[in-house]
Amino acid sequence: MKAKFLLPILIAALALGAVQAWAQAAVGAPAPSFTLTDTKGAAHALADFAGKPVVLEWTNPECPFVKKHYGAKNMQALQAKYVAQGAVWLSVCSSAPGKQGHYPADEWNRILAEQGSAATALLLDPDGQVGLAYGAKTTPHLFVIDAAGTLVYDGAIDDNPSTDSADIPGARAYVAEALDAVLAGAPVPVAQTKPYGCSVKY
Amino acid sequence: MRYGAPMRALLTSWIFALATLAVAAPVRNGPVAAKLIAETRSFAPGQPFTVALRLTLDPPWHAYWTNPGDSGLAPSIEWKLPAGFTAGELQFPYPRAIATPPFMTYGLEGDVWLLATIAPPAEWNEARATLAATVDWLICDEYCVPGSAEVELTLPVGAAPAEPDPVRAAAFAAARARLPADPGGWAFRARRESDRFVLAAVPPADFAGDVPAAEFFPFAEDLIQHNAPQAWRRAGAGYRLELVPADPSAPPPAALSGVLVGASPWHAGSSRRALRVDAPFSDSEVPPRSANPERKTP
Repeated sequence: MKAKFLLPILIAALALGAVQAWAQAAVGAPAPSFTLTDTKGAAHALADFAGKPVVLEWTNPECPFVKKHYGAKNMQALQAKYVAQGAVWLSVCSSAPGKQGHYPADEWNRILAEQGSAATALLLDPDGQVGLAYGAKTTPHLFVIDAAGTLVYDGAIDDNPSTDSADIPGARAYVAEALDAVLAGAPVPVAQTKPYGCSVKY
Repeated sequence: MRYGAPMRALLTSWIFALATLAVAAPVRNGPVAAKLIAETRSFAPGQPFTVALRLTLDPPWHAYWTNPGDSGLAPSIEWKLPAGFTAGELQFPYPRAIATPPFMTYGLEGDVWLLATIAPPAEWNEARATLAATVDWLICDEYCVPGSAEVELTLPVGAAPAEPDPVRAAAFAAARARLPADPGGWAFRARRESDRFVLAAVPPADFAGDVPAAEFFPFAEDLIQHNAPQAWRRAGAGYRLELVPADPSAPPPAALSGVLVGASPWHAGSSRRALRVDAPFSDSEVPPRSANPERKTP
Protein backbone atom coordinates (compact mmCIF):
# COMPACT_ATOMS: atom_id res chain seq x y z
CA MET A 1 0.00 0.00 0.00
CA LYS A 2 1.36 3.40 -0.91
CA ALA A 3 1.70 6.08 1.75
CA LYS A 4 -0.68 8.38 -0.07
CA PHE A 5 -3.42 5.82 0.38
CA LEU A 6 -2.86 5.51 4.11
CA LEU A 7 -3.87 9.03 5.01
CA PRO A 8 -7.46 8.90 3.71
CA ILE A 9 -7.84 5.66 5.64
CA LEU A 10 -6.54 7.38 8.74
CA ILE A 11 -8.92 10.28 8.28
CA ALA A 12 -11.81 7.92 7.64
CA ALA A 13 -10.93 6.00 10.78
CA LEU A 14 -10.93 9.21 12.81
CA ALA A 15 -14.21 10.34 11.27
CA LEU A 16 -15.81 7.06 12.20
CA GLY A 17 -14.70 7.58 15.75
CA ALA A 18 -12.46 4.56 15.62
CA VAL A 19 -9.68 6.50 17.22
CA GLN A 20 -6.34 5.00 16.61
CA ALA A 21 -2.94 6.41 15.99
CA TRP A 22 -1.82 6.41 12.41
CA ALA A 23 1.08 4.34 13.58
CA GLN A 24 0.51 0.66 14.12
CA ALA A 25 3.58 0.56 16.31
CA ALA A 26 2.94 0.60 20.05
CA VAL A 27 5.41 0.38 22.87
CA GLY A 28 5.07 -2.99 24.56
CA ALA A 29 3.65 -4.65 21.44
CA PRO A 30 5.44 -6.55 18.68
CA ALA A 31 7.23 -4.09 16.36
CA PRO A 32 5.62 -3.93 12.90
CA SER A 33 7.40 -6.19 10.45
CA PHE A 34 8.94 -4.77 7.31
CA THR A 35 11.29 -5.48 4.48
CA LEU A 36 13.29 -2.63 2.97
CA THR A 37 16.25 -2.33 0.65
CA ASP A 38 19.43 -0.67 1.85
CA THR A 39 21.73 1.69 -0.04
CA LYS A 40 23.89 -1.26 -1.13
CA GLY A 41 20.91 -2.99 -2.69
CA ALA A 42 20.47 -5.64 0.01
CA ALA A 43 17.02 -6.39 1.40
CA HIS A 44 16.55 -6.45 5.18
CA ALA A 45 13.54 -7.81 7.01
CA LEU A 46 13.03 -7.06 10.67
CA ALA A 47 12.62 -10.81 11.20
CA ASP A 48 16.20 -11.31 9.96
CA PHE A 49 17.43 -9.74 13.19
CA ALA A 50 15.41 -11.83 15.64
CA GLY A 51 17.43 -12.40 18.78
CA LYS A 52 19.20 -9.04 18.57
CA PRO A 53 18.14 -5.61 19.74
CA VAL A 54 17.33 -3.38 16.77
CA VAL A 55 17.43 0.42 16.59
CA LEU A 56 15.49 2.27 13.90
CA GLU A 57 16.73 5.82 13.36
CA TRP A 58 14.78 8.05 10.99
CA THR A 59 17.15 10.44 9.28
CA ASN A 60 17.51 13.26 6.78
CA PRO A 61 21.08 14.58 6.50
CA GLU A 62 19.92 18.10 5.64
CA CYS A 63 17.78 18.51 8.76
CA PRO A 64 19.43 20.79 11.37
CA PHE A 65 18.49 18.43 14.18
CA VAL A 66 20.15 15.53 12.36
CA LYS A 67 23.17 17.72 11.68
CA LYS A 68 23.32 18.49 15.40
CA HIS A 69 23.86 14.83 16.25
CA TYR A 70 25.99 13.86 13.24
CA GLY A 71 28.06 17.05 13.30
CA ALA A 72 29.02 16.33 16.90
CA LYS A 73 29.57 12.63 16.06
CA ASN A 74 27.01 11.75 18.72
CA MET A 75 24.89 9.57 16.46
CA GLN A 76 27.91 7.78 15.02
CA ALA A 77 29.25 7.14 18.52
CA LEU A 78 25.95 5.62 19.61
CA GLN A 79 25.83 3.50 16.46
CA ALA A 80 29.37 2.21 16.97
CA LYS A 81 28.93 1.59 20.69
CA TYR A 82 25.77 -0.45 20.44
CA VAL A 83 26.60 -2.30 17.21
CA ALA A 84 29.77 -3.41 19.02
CA GLN A 85 27.57 -4.74 21.81
CA GLY A 86 25.50 -6.84 19.43
CA ALA A 87 22.70 -4.48 18.48
CA VAL A 88 21.57 -3.84 14.90
CA TRP A 89 21.32 -0.17 13.97
CA LEU A 90 19.17 0.63 10.96
CA SER A 91 19.01 4.23 9.77
CA VAL A 92 15.86 4.79 7.74
CA CYS A 93 15.07 7.54 5.25
CA SER A 94 11.39 8.05 4.38
CA SER A 95 11.88 11.20 2.30
CA ALA A 96 9.64 10.99 -0.76
CA PRO A 97 11.10 11.48 -4.25
CA GLY A 98 11.60 15.20 -4.82
CA LYS A 99 11.61 15.96 -1.09
CA GLN A 100 14.55 16.94 1.08
CA GLY A 101 16.69 13.95 2.05
CA HIS A 102 15.70 11.77 -0.88
CA TYR A 103 18.82 10.64 -2.72
CA PRO A 104 19.80 7.84 -5.06
CA ALA A 105 21.60 4.98 -3.35
CA ASP A 106 25.07 5.98 -4.55
CA GLU A 107 24.65 9.51 -3.23
CA TRP A 108 23.52 8.02 0.07
CA ASN A 109 26.65 5.89 0.21
CA ARG A 110 28.78 8.98 -0.32
CA ILE A 111 26.90 10.80 2.48
CA LEU A 112 27.18 7.85 4.86
CA ALA A 113 30.94 7.68 4.24
CA GLU A 114 31.26 11.41 4.78
CA GLN A 115 29.27 11.23 8.01
CA GLY A 116 31.30 8.27 9.20
CA SER A 117 28.04 6.46 9.87
CA ALA A 118 28.51 3.31 11.90
CA ALA A 119 24.98 2.06 11.31
CA THR A 120 24.45 -1.51 10.19
CA ALA A 121 22.62 -0.20 7.10
CA LEU A 122 20.58 2.69 5.80
CA LEU A 123 17.19 1.54 4.60
CA LEU A 124 15.34 3.38 1.85
CA ASP A 125 11.62 3.92 2.44
CA PRO A 126 10.70 6.39 -0.32
CA ASP A 127 6.99 5.56 -0.26
CA GLY A 128 6.95 6.14 3.50
CA GLN A 129 5.23 2.84 4.21
CA VAL A 130 7.46 1.82 7.09
CA GLY A 131 7.68 5.36 8.46
CA LEU A 132 3.90 5.61 8.62
CA ALA A 133 3.58 2.15 10.16
CA TYR A 134 5.94 3.19 12.95
CA GLY A 135 4.54 6.69 13.22
CA ALA A 136 7.91 8.25 12.51
CA LYS A 137 7.34 11.99 12.90
CA THR A 138 10.69 13.63 12.97
CA THR A 139 14.31 13.35 11.99
CA PRO A 140 15.74 12.09 14.15
CA HIS A 141 13.07 9.80 15.62
CA LEU A 142 14.30 6.61 17.21
CA PHE A 143 12.75 3.25 18.01
CA VAL A 144 14.31 0.44 20.01
CA ILE A 145 13.13 -3.13 19.51
CA ASP A 146 14.29 -5.79 21.94
CA ALA A 147 15.67 -9.20 21.01
CA ALA A 148 12.17 -10.70 21.24
CA GLY A 149 10.83 -8.24 18.66
CA THR A 150 8.92 -6.05 21.11
CA LEU A 151 8.98 -2.30 20.63
CA VAL A 152 10.47 -0.98 23.87
CA TYR A 153 11.30 2.64 23.06
CA ASP A 154 9.68 5.24 20.80
CA GLY A 155 10.81 8.84 20.82
CA ALA A 156 13.58 11.37 20.96
CA ILE A 157 17.28 10.69 21.03
CA ASP A 158 17.58 12.79 24.18
CA ASP A 159 15.68 15.35 26.23
CA ASN A 160 17.07 18.58 24.77
CA PRO A 161 15.11 19.55 21.65
CA SER A 162 17.58 22.08 20.30
CA THR A 163 19.69 22.30 17.16
CA ASP A 164 22.80 23.15 19.16
CA SER A 165 25.33 20.35 19.49
CA ALA A 166 26.66 21.99 22.66
CA ASP A 167 23.45 20.78 24.34
CA ILE A 168 24.25 17.09 23.78
CA PRO A 169 26.57 16.39 26.74
CA GLY A 170 24.12 17.72 29.32
CA ALA A 171 21.06 16.00 27.87
CA ARG A 172 19.44 12.84 29.17
CA ALA A 173 20.23 10.25 26.49
CA TYR A 174 16.99 8.29 26.25
CA VAL A 175 18.08 5.96 23.45
CA ALA A 176 21.35 5.05 25.17
CA GLU A 177 19.41 4.38 28.38
CA ALA A 178 16.95 2.18 26.53
CA LEU A 179 19.70 0.20 24.83
CA ASP A 180 21.68 -0.20 28.04
CA ALA A 181 18.54 -1.56 29.70
CA VAL A 182 17.71 -3.91 26.84
CA LEU A 183 21.26 -5.26 26.72
CA ALA A 184 21.17 -5.79 30.49
CA GLY A 185 17.77 -7.50 30.33
CA ALA A 186 16.26 -4.72 32.41
CA PRO A 187 13.10 -2.68 31.83
CA VAL A 188 13.56 0.47 29.76
CA PRO A 189 13.41 3.44 32.19
CA VAL A 190 11.59 5.83 29.84
CA ALA A 191 9.77 3.99 27.07
CA GLN A 192 8.09 6.83 25.22
CA THR A 193 9.01 10.46 24.67
CA LYS A 194 8.03 13.11 22.20
CA PRO A 195 10.49 13.00 19.32
CA TYR A 196 11.98 16.30 18.24
CA GLY A 197 13.34 17.45 14.94
CA CYS A 198 12.26 18.26 11.41
CA SER A 199 9.16 16.58 10.10
CA VAL A 200 9.75 13.41 8.09
CA LYS A 201 9.42 14.47 4.45
CA TYR A 202 6.77 11.96 3.35
CA MET B 1 44.69 65.15 16.21
CA ARG B 2 43.15 67.27 18.94
CA TYR B 3 39.69 68.81 18.98
CA GLY B 4 38.27 71.55 21.17
CA ALA B 5 35.57 70.75 23.69
CA PRO B 6 32.63 71.82 21.47
CA MET B 7 33.93 69.66 18.65
CA ARG B 8 34.36 66.71 20.99
CA ALA B 9 30.82 67.16 22.24
CA LEU B 10 29.53 67.27 18.68
CA LEU B 11 31.48 64.18 17.71
CA THR B 12 30.29 62.37 20.81
CA SER B 13 26.69 63.18 20.03
CA TRP B 14 27.17 62.01 16.43
CA ILE B 15 28.74 58.82 17.57
CA PHE B 16 25.94 58.25 20.05
CA ALA B 17 23.36 58.98 17.37
CA LEU B 18 25.05 56.55 15.01
CA ALA B 19 25.23 53.92 17.73
CA THR B 20 21.54 54.39 18.45
CA LEU B 21 20.76 53.93 14.77
CA ALA B 22 22.94 50.85 14.68
CA VAL B 23 21.19 49.15 17.57
CA ALA B 24 17.79 50.09 16.20
CA ALA B 25 18.40 48.38 12.88
CA PRO B 26 17.07 44.85 12.58
CA VAL B 27 19.62 42.07 12.39
CA ARG B 28 18.98 39.99 9.30
CA ASN B 29 19.96 36.35 9.11
CA GLY B 30 18.66 34.71 5.94
CA PRO B 31 14.86 34.90 5.72
CA VAL B 32 14.52 36.35 9.25
CA ALA B 33 15.08 39.87 10.54
CA ALA B 34 15.29 40.19 14.33
CA LYS B 35 14.95 43.35 16.36
CA LEU B 36 14.36 44.45 19.94
CA ILE B 37 11.83 47.26 20.27
CA ALA B 38 10.86 49.09 23.45
CA GLU B 39 7.33 50.29 23.98
CA THR B 40 8.61 53.37 25.76
CA ARG B 41 11.18 55.93 24.69
CA SER B 42 12.88 55.72 28.04
CA PHE B 43 12.67 53.72 31.23
CA ALA B 44 12.28 54.66 34.86
CA PRO B 45 14.25 52.80 37.54
CA GLY B 46 12.11 50.29 39.43
CA GLN B 47 9.29 50.42 36.87
CA PRO B 48 8.80 47.41 34.60
CA PHE B 49 8.39 48.12 30.90
CA THR B 50 7.64 46.08 27.81
CA VAL B 51 9.93 45.21 24.96
CA ALA B 52 9.16 43.23 21.84
CA LEU B 53 11.37 40.74 20.12
CA ARG B 54 10.22 41.30 16.56
CA LEU B 55 10.95 38.51 14.12
CA THR B 56 10.05 39.32 10.55
CA LEU B 57 9.90 36.16 8.47
CA ASP B 58 9.99 36.20 4.71
CA PRO B 59 7.25 34.09 3.16
CA PRO B 60 6.81 31.13 3.02
CA TRP B 61 8.84 30.44 6.17
CA HIS B 62 7.28 29.85 9.56
CA ALA B 63 8.65 29.67 13.08
CA TYR B 64 6.92 27.79 15.88
CA TRP B 65 4.69 28.37 18.86
CA THR B 66 5.69 27.21 22.37
CA ASN B 67 4.07 23.87 21.58
CA PRO B 68 5.30 23.41 18.02
CA GLY B 69 2.96 20.50 17.32
CA ASP B 70 4.33 17.37 15.67
CA SER B 71 7.74 18.85 14.91
CA GLY B 72 9.62 22.12 15.17
CA LEU B 73 10.98 24.32 17.93
CA ALA B 74 9.88 27.66 19.38
CA PRO B 75 12.23 30.66 19.23
CA SER B 76 14.21 31.25 22.40
CA ILE B 77 16.01 34.20 23.87
CA GLU B 78 18.98 34.43 26.16
CA TRP B 79 19.08 37.86 27.71
CA LYS B 80 22.28 39.68 28.57
CA LEU B 81 21.02 42.41 30.83
CA PRO B 82 22.79 44.96 32.99
CA ALA B 83 23.14 44.04 36.66
CA GLY B 84 19.84 44.29 38.50
CA PHE B 85 17.66 43.95 35.40
CA THR B 86 15.41 40.92 34.98
CA ALA B 87 13.34 39.76 32.03
CA GLY B 88 10.07 37.86 32.08
CA GLU B 89 9.21 34.94 29.82
CA LEU B 90 8.55 35.63 26.16
CA GLN B 91 4.82 36.03 25.58
CA PHE B 92 3.76 34.32 22.37
CA PRO B 93 0.90 35.31 20.07
CA TYR B 94 -1.61 32.60 19.28
CA PRO B 95 -0.37 30.32 16.50
CA ARG B 96 -1.78 29.16 13.19
CA ALA B 97 -2.35 25.45 12.59
CA ILE B 98 -0.26 24.40 9.62
CA ALA B 99 -1.29 21.05 8.18
CA THR B 100 1.30 19.11 6.25
CA PRO B 101 -0.32 15.66 6.25
CA PRO B 102 0.15 13.48 8.11
CA PHE B 103 1.50 16.17 10.43
CA MET B 104 0.12 19.23 12.13
CA THR B 105 2.38 21.97 13.40
CA TYR B 106 1.59 25.22 15.22
CA GLY B 107 3.36 28.04 13.47
CA LEU B 108 4.10 31.74 13.56
CA GLU B 109 4.34 33.58 10.26
CA GLY B 110 5.14 37.01 8.88
CA ASP B 111 5.57 39.81 11.40
CA VAL B 112 5.94 38.06 14.76
CA TRP B 113 5.98 40.12 17.98
CA LEU B 114 7.05 38.29 21.13
CA LEU B 115 6.63 40.50 24.18
CA ALA B 116 8.64 40.47 27.38
CA THR B 117 8.48 42.51 30.55
CA ILE B 118 11.78 43.99 31.64
CA ALA B 119 12.14 44.94 35.28
CA PRO B 120 14.91 47.47 35.89
CA PRO B 121 16.45 47.88 39.33
CA ALA B 122 15.05 50.52 41.67
CA GLU B 123 18.31 52.41 41.44
CA TRP B 124 20.17 53.03 38.22
CA ASN B 125 22.92 55.59 38.20
CA GLU B 126 23.81 55.65 34.51
CA ALA B 127 22.23 57.73 31.76
CA ARG B 128 21.11 54.72 29.76
CA ALA B 129 20.98 50.96 29.75
CA THR B 130 21.63 48.46 27.01
CA LEU B 131 19.53 45.31 26.81
CA ALA B 132 21.19 42.62 24.72
CA ALA B 133 20.13 39.14 23.84
CA THR B 134 20.96 36.13 21.73
CA VAL B 135 17.91 34.93 19.84
CA ASP B 136 17.69 31.43 18.40
CA TRP B 137 15.00 30.21 16.06
CA LEU B 138 14.06 27.41 13.76
CA ILE B 139 12.18 28.22 10.59
CA CYS B 140 10.71 25.66 8.28
CA ASP B 141 8.90 25.45 4.99
CA GLU B 142 9.60 22.38 2.88
CA TYR B 143 12.73 22.09 4.97
CA CYS B 144 14.08 23.62 8.16
CA VAL B 145 16.83 26.14 8.85
CA PRO B 146 18.00 27.19 12.31
CA GLY B 147 19.08 30.76 12.81
CA SER B 148 20.43 33.08 15.44
CA ALA B 149 20.98 36.77 15.95
CA GLU B 150 22.56 39.07 18.48
CA VAL B 151 20.18 41.93 19.15
CA GLU B 152 20.40 44.90 21.46
CA LEU B 153 18.55 47.99 22.45
CA THR B 154 19.75 51.05 24.31
CA LEU B 155 17.26 53.11 26.27
CA PRO B 156 17.86 56.34 28.19
CA VAL B 157 16.69 56.77 31.73
CA GLY B 158 13.70 59.08 31.92
CA ALA B 159 11.15 60.39 34.34
CA ALA B 160 8.53 58.08 35.82
CA PRO B 161 6.24 56.96 34.42
CA ALA B 162 8.04 56.26 31.15
CA GLU B 163 5.90 57.38 28.27
CA PRO B 164 4.90 55.02 25.50
CA ASP B 165 6.40 55.88 22.15
CA PRO B 166 3.40 57.00 20.06
CA VAL B 167 5.09 55.75 16.91
CA ARG B 168 4.91 52.22 18.27
CA ALA B 169 1.63 52.33 20.14
CA ALA B 170 -0.42 50.75 17.35
CA ALA B 171 2.09 47.96 16.81
CA PHE B 172 2.20 47.11 20.52
CA ALA B 173 -1.59 47.20 20.70
CA ALA B 174 -1.74 44.78 17.78
CA ALA B 175 0.84 42.53 19.41
CA ARG B 176 -1.15 42.47 22.66
CA ALA B 177 -4.34 41.70 20.75
CA ARG B 178 -2.74 38.48 19.55
CA LEU B 179 -1.84 37.31 23.05
CA PRO B 180 -4.35 34.97 24.68
CA ALA B 181 -6.81 36.99 26.76
CA ASP B 182 -8.22 36.13 30.17
CA PRO B 183 -11.52 34.23 29.78
CA GLY B 184 -13.48 37.25 31.03
CA GLY B 185 -16.65 35.43 32.03
CA TRP B 186 -16.29 32.39 29.77
CA ALA B 187 -16.32 29.21 31.85
CA PHE B 188 -14.40 26.13 30.71
CA ARG B 189 -14.63 22.58 31.92
CA ALA B 190 -12.95 19.46 30.62
CA ARG B 191 -14.13 15.90 30.73
CA ARG B 192 -13.35 12.55 29.28
CA GLU B 193 -16.01 11.00 27.08
CA SER B 194 -15.10 7.56 25.91
CA ASP B 195 -12.02 8.02 23.75
CA ARG B 196 -12.24 11.82 23.51
CA PHE B 197 -11.49 14.87 25.58
CA VAL B 198 -14.36 17.31 25.61
CA LEU B 199 -13.86 20.98 26.37
CA ALA B 200 -17.13 22.61 27.37
CA ALA B 201 -17.29 26.40 26.94
CA VAL B 202 -20.08 28.45 28.48
CA PRO B 203 -20.22 32.14 27.53
CA PRO B 204 -20.92 34.94 29.97
CA ALA B 205 -24.61 35.72 30.42
CA ASP B 206 -24.38 38.92 28.39
CA PHE B 207 -22.73 37.28 25.39
CA ALA B 208 -25.06 37.76 22.43
CA GLY B 209 -22.71 36.72 19.66
CA ASP B 210 -21.85 33.41 18.11
CA VAL B 211 -18.50 31.73 17.72
CA PRO B 212 -19.00 29.62 14.61
CA ALA B 213 -15.67 27.83 14.84
CA ALA B 214 -12.81 27.51 17.28
CA GLU B 215 -9.55 25.69 17.52
CA PHE B 216 -7.68 24.61 20.64
CA PHE B 217 -3.90 24.79 20.93
CA PRO B 218 -2.66 22.92 24.01
CA PHE B 219 0.37 24.22 25.89
CA ALA B 220 1.60 20.68 26.51
CA GLU B 221 3.12 18.83 23.60
CA ASP B 222 1.79 15.44 24.62
CA LEU B 223 -1.85 16.23 25.37
CA ILE B 224 -3.72 15.72 22.08
CA GLN B 225 -3.15 14.30 18.63
CA HIS B 226 -2.29 17.51 16.86
CA ASN B 227 -3.33 16.20 13.44
CA ALA B 228 -6.75 14.95 14.51
CA PRO B 229 -9.83 16.97 13.53
CA GLN B 230 -11.33 19.12 16.30
CA ALA B 231 -15.13 19.20 16.31
CA TRP B 232 -16.62 22.47 17.68
CA ARG B 233 -20.35 22.86 17.95
CA ARG B 234 -23.11 24.41 20.02
CA ALA B 235 -24.19 22.37 23.02
CA GLY B 236 -26.60 23.39 25.73
CA ALA B 237 -25.90 26.91 26.93
CA GLY B 238 -22.57 27.05 25.13
CA TYR B 239 -20.24 25.02 23.01
CA ARG B 240 -18.27 21.83 23.10
CA LEU B 241 -15.01 20.97 21.44
CA GLU B 242 -13.94 17.38 20.93
CA LEU B 243 -10.26 16.58 21.00
CA VAL B 244 -8.44 13.31 20.41
CA PRO B 245 -6.04 12.45 23.24
CA ALA B 246 -2.43 11.81 22.30
CA ASP B 247 -2.59 8.56 24.21
CA PRO B 248 -6.18 7.33 24.50
CA SER B 249 -5.16 4.67 27.01
CA ALA B 250 -3.51 7.10 29.43
CA PRO B 251 -5.45 8.67 32.29
CA PRO B 252 -6.43 12.28 31.56
CA PRO B 253 -4.16 15.04 32.84
CA ALA B 254 -5.26 17.44 35.57
CA ALA B 255 -6.52 20.02 33.10
CA LEU B 256 -6.87 21.00 29.47
CA SER B 257 -4.61 24.04 29.33
CA GLY B 258 -3.94 26.04 26.24
CA VAL B 259 -5.26 28.69 23.92
CA LEU B 260 -8.68 28.65 22.29
CA VAL B 261 -8.76 30.62 19.05
CA GLY B 262 -12.17 31.61 17.77
CA ALA B 263 -13.29 32.46 14.26
CA SER B 264 -14.86 35.56 15.80
CA PRO B 265 -14.25 37.60 18.97
CA TRP B 266 -15.16 36.19 22.37
CA HIS B 267 -16.41 39.43 23.84
CA ALA B 268 -18.56 42.27 22.52
CA GLY B 269 -16.47 45.31 21.72
CA SER B 270 -13.24 43.33 21.63
CA SER B 271 -11.16 42.08 18.76
CA ARG B 272 -9.48 39.39 20.85
CA ARG B 273 -9.65 36.04 19.09
CA ALA B 274 -7.65 33.95 21.55
CA LEU B 275 -8.58 33.03 25.12
CA ARG B 276 -6.38 31.39 27.69
CA VAL B 277 -8.01 28.15 28.80
CA ASP B 278 -7.20 26.24 31.97
CA ALA B 279 -10.04 23.76 32.31
CA PRO B 280 -9.79 21.21 35.10
CA PHE B 281 -11.15 17.76 34.37
CA SER B 282 -14.39 17.03 36.19
CA ASP B 283 -14.54 13.72 38.01
CA SER B 284 -18.05 12.81 36.95
CA GLU B 285 -18.32 10.19 34.25
CA VAL B 286 -20.69 11.04 31.45
CA PRO B 287 -22.38 8.72 28.97
CA PRO B 288 -20.13 7.65 26.12
CA ARG B 289 -20.29 9.59 22.92
CA SER B 290 -22.36 6.97 21.10
CA ALA B 291 -25.29 7.82 23.41
CA ASN B 292 -25.33 11.34 21.98
CA PRO B 293 -27.38 11.45 18.75
CA GLU B 294 -26.41 15.05 18.06
CA ARG B 295 -22.81 14.30 17.51
CA LYS B 296 -21.58 15.11 14.03
CA THR B 297 -18.68 13.44 12.43
CA PRO B 298 -15.86 15.88 11.81
